[in-house]
Amino acid sequence: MLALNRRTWIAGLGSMLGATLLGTRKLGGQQTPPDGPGSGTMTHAAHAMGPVGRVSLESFNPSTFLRAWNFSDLPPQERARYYKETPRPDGTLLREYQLIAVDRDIEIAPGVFFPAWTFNGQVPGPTIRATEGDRIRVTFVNAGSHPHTIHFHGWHTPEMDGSLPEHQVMPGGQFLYEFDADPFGLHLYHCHAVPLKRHIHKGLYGAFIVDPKNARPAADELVMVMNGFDTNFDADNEVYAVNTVAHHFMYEPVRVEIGKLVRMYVVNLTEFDLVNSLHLHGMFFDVFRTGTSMTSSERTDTIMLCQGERAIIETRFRYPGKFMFHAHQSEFAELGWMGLFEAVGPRRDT
Amino acid sequence: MRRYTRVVIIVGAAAVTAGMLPRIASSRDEMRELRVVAREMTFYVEGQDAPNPTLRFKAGERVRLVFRNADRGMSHDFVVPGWKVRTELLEGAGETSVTFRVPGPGSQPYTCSPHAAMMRGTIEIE
Repeated sequence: MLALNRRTWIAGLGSMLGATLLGTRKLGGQQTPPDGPGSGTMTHAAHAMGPVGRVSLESFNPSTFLRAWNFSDLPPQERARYYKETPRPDGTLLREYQLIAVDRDIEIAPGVFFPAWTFNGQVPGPTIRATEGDRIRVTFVNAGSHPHTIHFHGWHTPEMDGSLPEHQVMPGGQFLYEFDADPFGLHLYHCHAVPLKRHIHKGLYGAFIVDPKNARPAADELVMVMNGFDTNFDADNEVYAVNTVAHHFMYEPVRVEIGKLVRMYVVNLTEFDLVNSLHLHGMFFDVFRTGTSMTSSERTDTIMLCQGERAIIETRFRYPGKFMFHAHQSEFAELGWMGLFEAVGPRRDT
Repeated sequence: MRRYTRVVIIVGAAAVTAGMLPRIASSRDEMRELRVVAREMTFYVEGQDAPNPTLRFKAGERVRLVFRNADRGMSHDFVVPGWKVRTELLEGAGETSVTFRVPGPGSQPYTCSPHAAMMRGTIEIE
């Protein structure tokens, strides 16, 4: 058995939160594991956040993924091969997509390659975004090495569900999924072939945003998919992230404007761990669970999401500078699921 | 004596080389090089934009097909099943080549064996 378990990972990465999280744990009366961060084998010089080196962003850039949907990150000609919209007489749109399941080794931490199953060569898959009432038509091609499906959350007929054995698309096969975007909210899509947890965790998932007919207020919008990777196939994750690449946003903070509404579409697609969470430093945010209401249900600074659960959160930054965001499962944070916002502009106290 | 032997060898070698020259030159003239790249699960002729383009060859011509995989982490090859022509499978970014002589007329499909569903095009013989 490869000795790449959580603890060697923690030790190996030397990635630990100095004052903030460790402080929290100590306040809670907990002991740091003897071979974990802060143990005698490591000097304080190793308290840098994140691993040494950088992941190549050539084939997938988590920062680009943040603000891309319906293949908006591709040049027009290339985009047209995967996405097309056609107005319909009733004013809604027909939105046609091509999603392709394909095997790919992806780099999730510096030098750590994960043998992923992907939609269109990326994890998470491309974000699908429509307006309530639009017709969605997805041509699904299975160019992978295993049977796959696409199971969308939302209203649709049983034959469009992509969940039963007879719905499986064999390697080399195709299927056309068609349904209306309903209800408005923040949803997800994922492969539903068995074994399910393996098919999801290998990377076959993405965000599915349905905007209300009366659009939400204009905002800087960010798609944040919380995910984890089981690199040694022991049904437990060794690397965690938001948008796949561990610690990415520590190196490339998410730049936001002070005073401007920031809307985050947060989807939990972590497997094996029952819950994941997002905590934002130095501020509070409004929560719209599943995004199915225009009224916020709570104001908090930490939101917990079960597997497959999602929420839209909104806030406005007040103070210039860097603010951490991370899972409040400290272990996840230290294994990659942490990042920074960088707020720019003059301070606004209200 | 020794010097005489050396002269003979040199002259002989020069003669043989000179005799081969036209042959080398003519085989170079016939050998056509085509560069194909796999990028974003699509074939392109290197430097061109048309996805999965139709490739045109002349019957009987010799072709050196240089195949580059630009998709990091993805396995691609270039295969003409009807001609039993195939490059090695490149597991991740890299470059390889295959040399073959174009058989008689008739169009042929070309594909990538792991991704034949969307990486496929046609070869036409002029």
